[in-house]
Amino acid sequence: MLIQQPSTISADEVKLPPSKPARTFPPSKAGTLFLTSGIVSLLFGMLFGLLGSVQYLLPDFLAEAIPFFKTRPLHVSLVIAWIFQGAAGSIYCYAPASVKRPLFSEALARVHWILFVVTGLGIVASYAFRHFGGREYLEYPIWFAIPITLSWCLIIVNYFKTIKESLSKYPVYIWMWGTGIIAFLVTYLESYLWLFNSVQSNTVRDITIQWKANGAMVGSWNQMVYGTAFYLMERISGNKDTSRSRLTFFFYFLGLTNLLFNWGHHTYIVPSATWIKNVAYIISMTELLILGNIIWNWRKTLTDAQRHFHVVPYRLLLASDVWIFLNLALSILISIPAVNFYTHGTHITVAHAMGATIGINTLILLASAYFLAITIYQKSVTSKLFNVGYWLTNISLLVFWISLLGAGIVKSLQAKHPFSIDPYEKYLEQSLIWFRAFSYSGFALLIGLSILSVPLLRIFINKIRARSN
Amino acid sequence: MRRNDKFLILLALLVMFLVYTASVYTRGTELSENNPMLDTAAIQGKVLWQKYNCSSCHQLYGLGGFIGPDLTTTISRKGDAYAKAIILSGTKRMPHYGITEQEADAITKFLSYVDSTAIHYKR
Repeated sequence: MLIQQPSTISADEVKLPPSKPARTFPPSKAGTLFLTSGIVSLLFGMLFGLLGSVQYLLPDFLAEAIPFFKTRPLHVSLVIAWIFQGAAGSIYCYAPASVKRPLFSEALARVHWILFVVTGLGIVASYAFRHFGGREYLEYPIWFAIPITLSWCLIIVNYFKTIKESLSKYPVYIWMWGTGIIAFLVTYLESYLWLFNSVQSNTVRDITIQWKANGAMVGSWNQMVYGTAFYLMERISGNKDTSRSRLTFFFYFLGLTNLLFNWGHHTYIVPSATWIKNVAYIISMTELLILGNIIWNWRKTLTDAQRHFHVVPYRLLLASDVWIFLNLALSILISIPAVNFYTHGTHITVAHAMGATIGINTLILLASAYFLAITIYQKSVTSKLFNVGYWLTNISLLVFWISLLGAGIVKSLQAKHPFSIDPYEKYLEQSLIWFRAFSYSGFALLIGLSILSVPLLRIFINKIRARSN
Repeated sequence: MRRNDKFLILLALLVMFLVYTASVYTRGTELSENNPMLDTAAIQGKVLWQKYNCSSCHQLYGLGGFIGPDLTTTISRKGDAYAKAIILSGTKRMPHYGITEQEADAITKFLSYVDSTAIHYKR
């Protein structure tokens, strides 16, 4: 059976007032390129993640060819690259239709894509030849930061030149994309402050700023991804009120506040000033309002689910909602200092990161790619195959998430504090059952995500080829 | 919500963020007796820590990979000599990198500095 969405929500629908000649705003070609290369990054990123998880069980596995100090940065960099490419691709595709203006410059968007991909390939090559920058999450040599920064400036120019007029009249997702794009540049530059001697030679300052930049950087891509989710929901439901309501803007500003100030819950164990931690704790607890809002709207979510469950992108958004709930609950719990003392530096933190990047970010971005493929490009996907991929991804991710929590709890129970696991090899042996579950479910997750994303790749590549012919 | 209100809120958040960031960069993370300035050898060790991508497997203050132990307090718990021996020879899980004696000394020095800041766990 093939799934094809009704054409009632195609891109051609967006038109200027009847008195003027009708104009349409088809998705940017560069946007499709970004989503295509993003999916390739995701698949390779997952593959290296799987290799890394096997190395937990079998330390000698491919130890000469691709040791863990290579598989981990490859996994992390490629998956983060997927999120940025997916978010940038979605923005390039949907921003013009959202504001009823053409993209300011398709050529600039293409230069952005070329710079991003060439830099990405350079980073992969540098890992292969053991050249590292050695900073957490940004493990590539520092000179790669230059093209990354330049390429990001291109999307800033393109985006703000496209939306042009007063930001205030636009729906929340236009704000979220805008603040997300800017916040990434700020946090990315901040993460390189260690190059200055006053940071480099001060351990506490360096660690604190590193957590600050990395924590807020995650918030910046969340803004872009959640903005995309809002856009998709508006297009699927046809309801334009939600993304313009006071309540939605209240939660947008609450999210932004958390982006700017809640990173400090990562630094409870760092001997920086106490007020940094107090601010973080208070701000983190405001997330309870977001959690409460999800619970409050649960019944409405179920009603919407019954109405839209046949819509492929909606099903992915619905699954991401469940993951938002689970991760938010976990995030609030580990933001409590007494709990954080035992969970920080354990696989519980990894569970939170994986639940967020796969369960939330990846599912929303896949929803965006499916929306583009089915609704806008009017292509079909096999429903049986989609169902298999959908359930395999979600069930294996749940097992994966629980196994990481399990390994984290074993470590928390063993340690007097996070730095004193002794001997570490004993902890690894005691957690073997959890690491096995994490590796097997990681394999199933790779299969599930491949089933979901390979058909998209085929559609996008055909589309790109058709355009270039 | 009126249009201008949104900009006012955004502006207020931005100003608070700038003040907060400036405070974090200065007063929140000052050098002190418990947070001494790294000397040249320790900085060299830090550069090597990054060059060998040690954080892919090890953590400092919870920042890094989890396949190896957190090394924030490893020097006070295990001693310089133990740390240096592991750095030089590797373990079942840790590859032998071919690190020189001089490099091992510098990395150990860096770890000693980090350790000296971890006052929360030595009370």
